[in-house]
Amino acid sequence: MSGSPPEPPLRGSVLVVDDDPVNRGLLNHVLGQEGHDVIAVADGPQALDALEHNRVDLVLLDIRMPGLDGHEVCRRIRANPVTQRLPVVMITAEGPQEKLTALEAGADDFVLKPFDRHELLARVRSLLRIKRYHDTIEAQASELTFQAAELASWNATLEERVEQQVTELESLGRLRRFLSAQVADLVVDSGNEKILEPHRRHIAVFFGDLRGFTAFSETAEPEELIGVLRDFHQAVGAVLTRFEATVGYFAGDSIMAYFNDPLPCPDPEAQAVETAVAIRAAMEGPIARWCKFGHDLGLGIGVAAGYATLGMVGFEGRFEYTALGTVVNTAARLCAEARSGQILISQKVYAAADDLLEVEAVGELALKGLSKPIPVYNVVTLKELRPA
Amino acid sequence: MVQLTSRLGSILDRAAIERLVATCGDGGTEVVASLLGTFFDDAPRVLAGLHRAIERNHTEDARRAAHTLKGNGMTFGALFLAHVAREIETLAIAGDIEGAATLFGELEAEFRMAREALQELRRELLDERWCPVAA
Repeated sequence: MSGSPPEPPLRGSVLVVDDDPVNRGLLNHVLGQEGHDVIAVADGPQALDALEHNRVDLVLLDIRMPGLDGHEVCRRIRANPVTQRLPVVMITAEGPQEKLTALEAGADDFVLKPFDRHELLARVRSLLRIKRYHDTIEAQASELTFQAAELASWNATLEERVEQQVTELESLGRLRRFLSAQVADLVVDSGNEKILEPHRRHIAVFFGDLRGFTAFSETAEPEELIGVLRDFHQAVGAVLTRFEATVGYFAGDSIMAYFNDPLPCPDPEAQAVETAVAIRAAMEGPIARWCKFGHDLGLGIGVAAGYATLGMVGFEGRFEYTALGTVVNTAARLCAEARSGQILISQKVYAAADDLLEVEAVGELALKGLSKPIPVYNVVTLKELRPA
Repeated sequence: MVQLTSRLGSILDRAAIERLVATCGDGGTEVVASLLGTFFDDAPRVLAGLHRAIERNHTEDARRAAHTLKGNGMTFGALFLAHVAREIETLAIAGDIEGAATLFGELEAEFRMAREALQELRRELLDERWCPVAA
């Protein structure tokens, strides 16, 4: 016994086309008895009309009809893409010539008149089975076409997304050199490259510098030099990232960073000072360690605030995001004046952040590049950090 | 197999009728009776059409009408009717309308005799109590 399930009964909708009412009646009965649905029409035009308005699985077509004869009807059925593969059985009289003509007109099979019941039903069943296979194949092909289209569409979307990400990564690459990672991400996400064009902004600038480094570098072994710089960069880098600073430069024993550009910062003076304090704290460990090795090194910091011009400066292939202005100069000079362990801030910074800070006045300093001396303060500690 | 009797049995080929009843499966006798009714209604129209076609020299129409009557004749076992109809069909195919015209009278006569026999057969089909015999 074969394991395959029984085939569902082969029943279909049959269109009978014959101008003789006796034949129509006979076929209607025989086919109907077998379980097929029968539509019986008397001529070609009615047949083509019936095909347009009904689902038909097979056509039984008489040849001799007034107007459109059976051959012509068959040809038109074949010519229509919708009915191209519809099974057509011609009802022919005796004679090989008629059979040949029937096949040439596109008939799939033929029955002779007067027809034998079993032969007719067997041919009908056989053609319905073939049509069922074709319908399944067509449905599957249709499904495949749809899936292929979907796949192509997803691929296109994927390509688009990859391209977008590549562009993003390129922008990111450029920005990462002077923005901390998360800051760069935010700028790229905002899709706003206009920030790279020159513009003015109120910023807080931070300069940091290793005291005694020049002397140290003259006498130290290369490994010691690298080691110190690595400790320095590690400690400071982590803090800069945490406080979302924009790094102007961070090379060797010097660092310059600023706040409120390109990303807005609600209180850049406070942010800058808190960063400075955090860096000083982070450097305590490394400085103590270096001291143990006999290296006399320390960190001096200067913080200033004011308007600067920022944006991409340079030429093709060598652009840098730069901050220019008095504020930058002031912060640099304050840093130069700071002794190891000091955070020197300008009046403006103090004014903006005084409720956070415990400071000691350093007095009025005449800084190179500034027309007159300015009051300067050293940050002792953050008020919230003061032991109770 | 149904044994049909008819006083005019020589006109009709009984085997053809029996095949037709068998073809119609269950309730074949009623169906054949119904088909005969259709034939009686339709054939006069076809004959009239043939006559008109002969008169107007429409060989194709004549051919088709003769073909139909031939088919019906063969279906119901009215062989003489079928024979004359085929002769007219052949002449019409050849374009010989005059030849077709000469046979028309004979065709009409054969039709009348066939109709009489078939009408009696129809009564027998409708009256017959028919029990199927397993083959």
